[in-house]
Amino acid sequence: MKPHILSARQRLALLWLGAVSPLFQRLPGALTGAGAALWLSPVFALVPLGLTALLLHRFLRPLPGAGLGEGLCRCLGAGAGRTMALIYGLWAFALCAAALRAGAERFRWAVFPESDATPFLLVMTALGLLGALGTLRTLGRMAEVVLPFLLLGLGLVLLPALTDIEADSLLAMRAENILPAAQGGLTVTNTAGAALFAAFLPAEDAGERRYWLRIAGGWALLGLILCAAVLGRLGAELTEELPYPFFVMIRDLRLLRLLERAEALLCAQWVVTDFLLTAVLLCAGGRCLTLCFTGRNKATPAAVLPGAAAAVLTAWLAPEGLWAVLPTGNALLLFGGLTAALAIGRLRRRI
Amino acid sequence: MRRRMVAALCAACLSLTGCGGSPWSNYRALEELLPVQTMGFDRREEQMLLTVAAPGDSPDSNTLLSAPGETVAAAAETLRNRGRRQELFFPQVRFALVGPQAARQGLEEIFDWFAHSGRTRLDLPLWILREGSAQELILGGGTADTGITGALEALQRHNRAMPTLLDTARQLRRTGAAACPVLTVVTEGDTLLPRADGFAVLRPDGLADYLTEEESLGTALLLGRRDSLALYPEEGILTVRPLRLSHRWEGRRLEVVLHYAGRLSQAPEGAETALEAAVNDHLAACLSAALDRAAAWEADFLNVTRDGVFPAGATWNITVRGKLLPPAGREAQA
Repeated sequence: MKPHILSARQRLALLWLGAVSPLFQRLPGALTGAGAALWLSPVFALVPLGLTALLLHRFLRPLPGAGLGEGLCRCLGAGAGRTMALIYGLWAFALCAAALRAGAERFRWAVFPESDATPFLLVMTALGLLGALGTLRTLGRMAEVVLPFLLLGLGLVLLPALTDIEADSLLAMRAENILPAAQGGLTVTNTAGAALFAAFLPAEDAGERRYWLRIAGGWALLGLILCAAVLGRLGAELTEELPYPFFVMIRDLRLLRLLERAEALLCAQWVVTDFLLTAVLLCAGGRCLTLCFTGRNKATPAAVLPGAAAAVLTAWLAPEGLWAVLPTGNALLLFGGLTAALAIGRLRRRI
Repeated sequence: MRRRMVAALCAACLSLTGCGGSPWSNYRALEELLPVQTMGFDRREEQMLLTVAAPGDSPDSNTLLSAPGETVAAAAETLRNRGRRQELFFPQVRFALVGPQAARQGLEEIFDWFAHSGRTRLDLPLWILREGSAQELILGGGTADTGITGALEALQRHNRAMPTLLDTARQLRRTGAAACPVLTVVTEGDTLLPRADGFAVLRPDGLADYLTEEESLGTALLLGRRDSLALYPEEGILTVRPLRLSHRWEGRRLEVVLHYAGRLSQAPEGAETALEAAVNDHLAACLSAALDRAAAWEADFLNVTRDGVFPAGATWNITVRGKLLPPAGREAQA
């Protein structure tokens, strides 16, 4: 078993867990204008998410044991491929800054309202660095172990919420809500897209088409359940008005009539997903930078440490809405960039 | 070296958890906290007057505090800075009372505080007082041992389907009007006791008005906010339990159908049929009164329209169906 290569299952766990944190952070609050139809946005997202999944499958199929970085170099040639890897690497660090900031803000809003964001930023960066500089296999194994616990936690929160929703809130949609809901599909794709950087990490198996479609479908299903639960409890207007509607909703939840006010416990569980996303982004960013400058696909401390420092500094100095702005570029960079690279690769008969 | 670094990082992470012993700890012993259970909001001379009730040091005492402020948040901060040994802890608030003056200026500021600063649940019952002030009721309400919180608990047990703060906020945003439960204060000896007293209608800019008893009953039925109700016609006493209410628009006419089950507890033999007709008429009149009021005020606090607007010249056709069962003893004999 090679320590610096993921198994297909481990990459699946990383891709899935990496998307949980941003999805719960931004949905359904970011789906503005869709009114009662906002729960349709994850359904609409199935199209771009599915296309991105197919694109990734197409890209990685001829490259078992490699990541997207090598795919870019193969399609575009060494010079252009390394330049693209540099752009993706910088983007990964920018997303990492947004993820750090969002995690700290969420903690402050939900659990520690009078605290400073700095300790959260520092701790999360330190943990992310441990994950990014350690062996990939360890990071992947951790994701594999955490996934069932997180699914259990999500089930405990979302299933009671789903049993207590008002169907009227979901069905009271109008014709004018459909277009914003369809646009919301892109927001869902952009948000979940942060986790796609896990595809830059090398894995033993490139994965079948079904493997990638299952990941995309899982994200859309999670988004759908999340939107329906929050919308059904809070209504469209309050959902748009509150900064973190999901975390307001869970204040009112009673788990099996035994436990209430469990939001701090649930927020603590989200830390694991924040850690995995941060580690994946730092690792992917570091690998892209090393690939650009040395031609090797490895996350060296010389590439990861400056990137992490830049990310934590950006997160510390940046305004609160960083997370709302940054992921909008994901679709352009991931879907657009990869489509163009694949097209060029096909023209050059390299893939 | 690498192991030492990892150990140092782990130690740093553990110290940043916020648990006891860490330099950034937000840990408080339970005895140092004063969990607020009931909050009252009044308006006095352009200021918000906040009154809170919390369990006292001994089981049969209550801590009652009151402070004014420019805003709810400012008043809460003033209360916190009173220099008490215990720190006021708001996230466990269970009941909210709003005085008539504060209600006339709208509930938005209060809702915002609950949603953003208070970190409380939003599904807590919120009552508007018909007269007097929330401060008077909290300071002098309930019995000596349970205080106002105990009295409100008893009231909540009586009707669990009451609208909450979240329901009111949602409805206000959806249709621009919401029905909010009302309390009236009665004096028994030297104790003030709260009594449920129907509904008031709120608009985004404040309290529109209080509903009559008949309108309130119709509102509770239409909103599905009544577990059961006792009626006292001349012929006896009966308890009615609404089972199902459906409504749909047919052009400009609203078709409302209410199904209920009733149980007589006192009535002469053979009075069931006459009583059934009387109950049907009474419930239909209540539903009609609530709908008439909503249409007259152009305020859909009943949540029967799609966008909060009644069509011009709207009418209603109300059908009430139910079955009255004889008193339990008589049924067993039969």
